[in-house]
Parts: sequence; structure tokens; C-alpha cells
Amino acid sequence: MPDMNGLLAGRVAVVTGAARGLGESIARLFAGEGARVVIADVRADEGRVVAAELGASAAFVGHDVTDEDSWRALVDATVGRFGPPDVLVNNAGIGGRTTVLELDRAEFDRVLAINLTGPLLGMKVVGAVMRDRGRGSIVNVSSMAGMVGVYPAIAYSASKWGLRGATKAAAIELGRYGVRVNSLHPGGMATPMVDGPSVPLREPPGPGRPEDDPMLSGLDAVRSYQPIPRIARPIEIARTALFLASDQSSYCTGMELVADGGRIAGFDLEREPTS
Amino acid sequence: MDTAPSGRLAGKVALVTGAGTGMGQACARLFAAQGARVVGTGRRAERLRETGELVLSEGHEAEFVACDLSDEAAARALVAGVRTRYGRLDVLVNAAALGGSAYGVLRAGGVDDIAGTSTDQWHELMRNNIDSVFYLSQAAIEIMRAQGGGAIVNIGSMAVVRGFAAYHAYAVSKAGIHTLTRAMAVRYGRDNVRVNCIAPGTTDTPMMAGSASMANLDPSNPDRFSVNPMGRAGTPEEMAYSCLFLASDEASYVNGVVLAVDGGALSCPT
Repeated sequence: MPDMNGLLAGRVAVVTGAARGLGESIARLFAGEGARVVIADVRADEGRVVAAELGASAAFVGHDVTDEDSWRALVDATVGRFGPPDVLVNNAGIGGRTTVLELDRAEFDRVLAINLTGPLLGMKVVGAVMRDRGRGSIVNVSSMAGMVGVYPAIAYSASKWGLRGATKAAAIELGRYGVRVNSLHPGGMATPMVDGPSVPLREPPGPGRPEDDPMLSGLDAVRSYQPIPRIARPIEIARTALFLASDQSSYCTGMELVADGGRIAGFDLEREPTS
Repeated sequence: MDTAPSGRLAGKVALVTGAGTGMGQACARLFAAQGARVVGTGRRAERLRETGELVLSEGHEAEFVACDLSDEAAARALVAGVRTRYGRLDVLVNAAALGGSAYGVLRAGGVDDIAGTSTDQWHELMRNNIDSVFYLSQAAIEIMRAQGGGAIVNIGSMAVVRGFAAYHAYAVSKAGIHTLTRAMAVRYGRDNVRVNCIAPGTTDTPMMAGSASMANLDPSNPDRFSVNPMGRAGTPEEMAYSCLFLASDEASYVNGVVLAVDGGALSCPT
């Protein structure tokens, strides 16, 4: 049974790409739910600030997801500081705008290395620790672009579909050891990746209420056609990662959790946008 | 003295169908424990009383009203009654359903296939499993839109995503639930009404007792991991936690999804 007063009480969580954006939001939320959190990122300055603000329940570890040795060092640092990891959130990722007809091979390789090979190495190295302990939850942050095609982003789409598929195969391999693996598919989200402001814990305005931050309100306006007619605040997506990381989802593995405000659920051709 | 309700559904009014048994019962218990004012319903008053005693024994309160949800007038009156008594309706969980056990006669003969299904049985299943969801959802959405929002959580099935030969009619009724979920989500998300469903895999409920699916996942079967990575059936409580997540504000950006809660069964080749 999950401890509903602290969904990750006593757990150790590793979050990649946690220096800013969604990863930072996840790290802050998880710490608030009782986890000790390792903030893994190539961005040392920002990562150290987040860790310092979270105090004794967080630590920053410099980390390159594309390097297997870096993963081993990350696990060693995690075990040394907090103990073996119970949760891995493969959040680090990059965008990109290359297309099939004008394929930038270097960009394609780089996006695949960070967005797909990186999480795979994480599942290999951290998954082995979890297997040995007979428990663990891995959350792979894919994207809406792992459910549908997104143009112009051939590398991004391929990497996120790849991660969705890898999630299912890994779930089959690790399920018998008590290790769960699921993928998360956010839609549009106000983070630095979409040139959004840094608002890791900011809640959305209530329904029908205006957003007072002009940058956020501009991002909301672009999404006014969606069933939930605004962009996501990172904390909303972080909460879906919390569900997958915690024992609340103890029978979920190999599945995809879409958090896109209903965008890919379908069409409403009769109804006018309200804004 | 601080009497403010606490919990992940604090202050919300939740109507849970199928509350006498299985997943509906687990939702009623968990939602009450998480601060919701729960109204549980289902066909069988005796089963509802049992759930009520469980909720009480856990230190919480809930109201239970017996109702045949396939009766349109009764279903609509039930929802209206919740609004009259509590002033609002924040969460609707459509968990009531007939399953394999509705085919008692066929199952006893070991045949549960399309050729052996009578027209009456087909219609009985659709009336109970999908018509009722239409009545209740329509009535609930009217209230939720007027009050500024709400959440509907439906129970679908993994049998919608893959074909299960023995669950043809059941799967058709559940496919209606998946489809209705998406259509309602797309139409009413703008009104802050979120609609989602879970697709449970094999779950240890009275509905599944004695089924081939449960037998497949018995610990004595060494091959169970090939059809289910976790190698076990789910529990009603595990389904209830997924429903809690979707019903709560924690899923504020989750709308129109089908959440597989299946131990990874759908990740596997059949």
C-alpha cells in the first residue's frame, strides 16, 4: 500500500536532466513527497542551485546520459550518498527540427544518442541494481511525439517512439524481478525546451481564469484549440511522473501515460475555441 | 479543532458504481479514505451493505444506494439525488459491469463464444455495461459543466485493445466505454471536465474468479511471465489507485487517455 502522506517516503530517486525544466519540477516534487533525489545533469551550475535549495534530501551529480561510464559513476555516487536507487526518471532530452528530406545526419545521431541511447544505458546500469534488489520503478519521459508524428522533428519523433518501444521490451525483461518500466508522453509544456520561463512549481490558473504571466499566457494562447485549452505547467507533468514512480501504479508496467490535455484523443470540429 | 477534510480527494463528492464488489468497492473504500464524500451504488443492496461496513470499519463514512443502472429513469434519478443531497458532483467512476459470470450457463458448458451467445444475453450486457455509462455520464456532465468542472473515470478493458475470443460481447461493451471516454474528453475538456479510463488486465475480482486468465497467472504456472511480465493478477486496490490518480487534481492535464493497468500484458505478443 502506498504511503499517501509521502508517496515516495524513504525512496531514493535519480532524475536526469533535473537542473531545469520538467526534470527540476520532478526533483522538487519528489523531494516534497519524501524522496531523496539525485539531480543528474550536464548543467552543473543550475543543477547545484536546485540541489542546494532542496537541502539534505538532494544531491547534484554531473552526468552525461550518453556515456555508460558516467551512468556507473552516477549509480556509485547515488549509493554512496543515499543508498541504491528505487526510482529512475529518464528525463534528459533535447529537441531538434531536422526533417526527412533535409536530414541533418549529425543532429539525428545526436538526438538519438541523448533521447534513446541515454535512457537505454540508464535502464541497463540502474536496472541491474534494481533487479538485484527485486524492486524499482523506471519512468521514461517520451513525448506526444512518441504517440503521433511531429513535424518538423523527424529525429525527435523517432527517438521518442524508440523510447516507447524500448520501454515495453524492458518491461517484459524486468517485470519478473519486480522492476516496473513505463513511458510518459507529455504534450506541450512550459519549459526552456519550448522557450518557456522557468516555473517548476507554478500551478496553472483556475479554469476560466487568465494567466497573469505574459510569457505563459502567450504559450497558452497557442494551445487554445486543445480540449484543455492551454499549455501544461511542468508541475502537472511532474505529478504524472510521481504516479508512475510511486506504488500507486504498482500494477502498471510497459504502458504509456499520455498527459497532453486531450490533444491526441481526437477531434471536435463543431466546437469553437473559447480564446 | 481543525475539521478540514484531508486527502487527495478532500472536499469532493464522488459517485462510484459497482460499489458492492471488486474494483468499485475498492474505489469506494479508497476514495472515502482520501477525503471524498462517496455515494456508492450497484444492483445488490446486500453487497452495498458489506462495502458500507468495510468503509465504516476503516473509520470513514459513505452513502450507499441500490440502483439498477440499466434503468434509464433510475440512473438519472440517482445522479439528480446526489446533487440534491450534496449540492455537487465532482467525480463519477463507472465501474459497474457484467462480466464473464453473466454467461453462467455458457461457461458451465465450457463454451463462451459468439456462436453460443443469445440475442437476449447480448442486449443484457450492452444495457448494463454501456447504456448505463451513457445515462450516468450525460447526467453527471451536465452538473459538472454547471459547477465549473469534474472528472469521470471509466473502467474499460485490455480486451478492447486485443481480441479475446471468450470475451467478445464484454469487449464490445468495453470498447464503447473507451470510445465514449475519448469523445467526451475531447468535447468537455474545455469545460474543465476531464474524462479518462483505465484498461485493467486480469484482476483478482469475483468477476474473474475461475477464469482461464486467472488460471494462467497461477504461481504454479512457470510460463506465466510470457503473457504477463509481472507474473500475477492485479488487485482491485491497484485498480482503485489508478482511478484515484485520474479522479484527482493530480491528473489535471490528463484527458482522454486509456491507462493500461495490466502488469504489462499488453506489451507482450500474445
